[in-house]
Amino acid sequence: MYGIEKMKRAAAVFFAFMILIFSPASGSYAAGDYPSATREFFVNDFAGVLDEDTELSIIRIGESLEDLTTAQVVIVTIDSLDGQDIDSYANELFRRWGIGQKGKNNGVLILNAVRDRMIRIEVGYGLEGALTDIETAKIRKEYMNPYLQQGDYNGGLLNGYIAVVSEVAGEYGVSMEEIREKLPSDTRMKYDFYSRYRPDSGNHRDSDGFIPAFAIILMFLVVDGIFFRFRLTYMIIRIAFYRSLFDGRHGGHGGWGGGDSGGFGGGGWGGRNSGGRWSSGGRSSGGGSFGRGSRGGGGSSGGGGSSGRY
Amino acid sequence: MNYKSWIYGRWIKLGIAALVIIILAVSSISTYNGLVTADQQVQKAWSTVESMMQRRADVITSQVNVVKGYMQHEEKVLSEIAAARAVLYDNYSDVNSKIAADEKLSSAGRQILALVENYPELKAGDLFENLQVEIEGSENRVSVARKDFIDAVQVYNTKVSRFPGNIFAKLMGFEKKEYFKASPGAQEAPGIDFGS
Repeated sequence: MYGIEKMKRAAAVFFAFMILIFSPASGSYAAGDYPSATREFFVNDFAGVLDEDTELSIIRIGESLEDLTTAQVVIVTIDSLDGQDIDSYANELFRRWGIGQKGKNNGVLILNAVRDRMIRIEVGYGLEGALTDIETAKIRKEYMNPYLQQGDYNGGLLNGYIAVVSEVAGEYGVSMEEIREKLPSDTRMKYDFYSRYRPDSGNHRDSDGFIPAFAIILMFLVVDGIFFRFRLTYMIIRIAFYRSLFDGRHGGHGGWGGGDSGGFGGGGWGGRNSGGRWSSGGRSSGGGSFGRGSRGGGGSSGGGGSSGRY
Repeated sequence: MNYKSWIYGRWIKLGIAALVIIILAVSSISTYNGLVTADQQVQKAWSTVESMMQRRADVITSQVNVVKGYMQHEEKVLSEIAAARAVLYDNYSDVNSKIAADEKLSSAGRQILALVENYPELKAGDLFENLQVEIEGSENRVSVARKDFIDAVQVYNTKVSRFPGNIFAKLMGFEKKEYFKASPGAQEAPGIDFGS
């Protein structure tokens, strides 16, 4: 009886000993509740603010960028930070997911805390030269905030995503056109729209340029009316009318040629062109499936980037 | 029969002794290597902290040069920044004085922003926004580096004080390391208080 008790105690001591020796020596870390990346990786809409079309566009653009440069740009939306600091949350998430390639640290995380109305763009060590803090702040304020303030998350996040992608691509000497070439045609339309719609180049100039142009036309009409009894205006309208007739005939021709981007394809050389694009589109989108399933490459970040409210 | 069993007993005893020695040797080598690695991680993390502090000093100095025209009455802040920067770049200054210098810079950064706040013509332009972004960015980098350093020290200290490690640590002269001694002010969230 006594012997068994002694053996039991010895066994217990032995096991305790073994646990002490072989348990990992790392300290106890607060696990925190950080979500793990979705299969799509480039877009993780935990807050549920993006539609499927936008997500697909982001995934395709992200894949194209990674194919061409190995860099990874990831969007995460979360519902709320629960009182956490967005800067440290983004940094922790960035490192856990390992955005960017190991050794190159060429990742960017765009984090949107929807209920806090906060955005952070966290930049990996390797891209801090291409995306300075000031640059990320500019992207947030000029490319994203105008949409986000109106509750347009699809527009704001996609526009910001493309702005970040263009900076990263530029760092690797890859043009926006090269990324565009890899996109299927339906994504291309969105890509073109947001690539063009840069509030700092397009929007601003539009609003500045509209009033002078309007004033010049008005002045022309006034001068023409007083001195020429609108003869100049009449002439211009007539010229424009004939030109449009002429263009119309040409336009029909162009319409046929333009089939290469549509589904019709057309004949001759147009068909070859469209065929090539279809196959490249099919390859990069994984044959119509929803992304190919990507993972982080083990990149790290040292807190570069900027954050702010919108 | 009796002799044979004696031989067996002897071999078993020798085998167990050899096994214990091998296990001890292997575990001591790996423990020692673990300690050395952890120690190097701490040193690496600290050098990152230092370089991020220096980066912040550079950022604040260059930002001060931008708004210098407005800061002629702030001689004290300017000289403090210069002195703190000198401490951070001095290879012979010790850890605590570097931390103190960094905290001075941190508060100087806030002062600059508060000052710019008083000049609407400065505040309206890109300058102020860039200033704010740069200072916040350097603040955030320092705090990330500091967190990494604390994590590295924690891993190291755990290795030094847990069971197999503590024996070797005592034998080999590995001592527990101090955590980052942050003053109450430095524990505030990185960000600038515009209320003042």
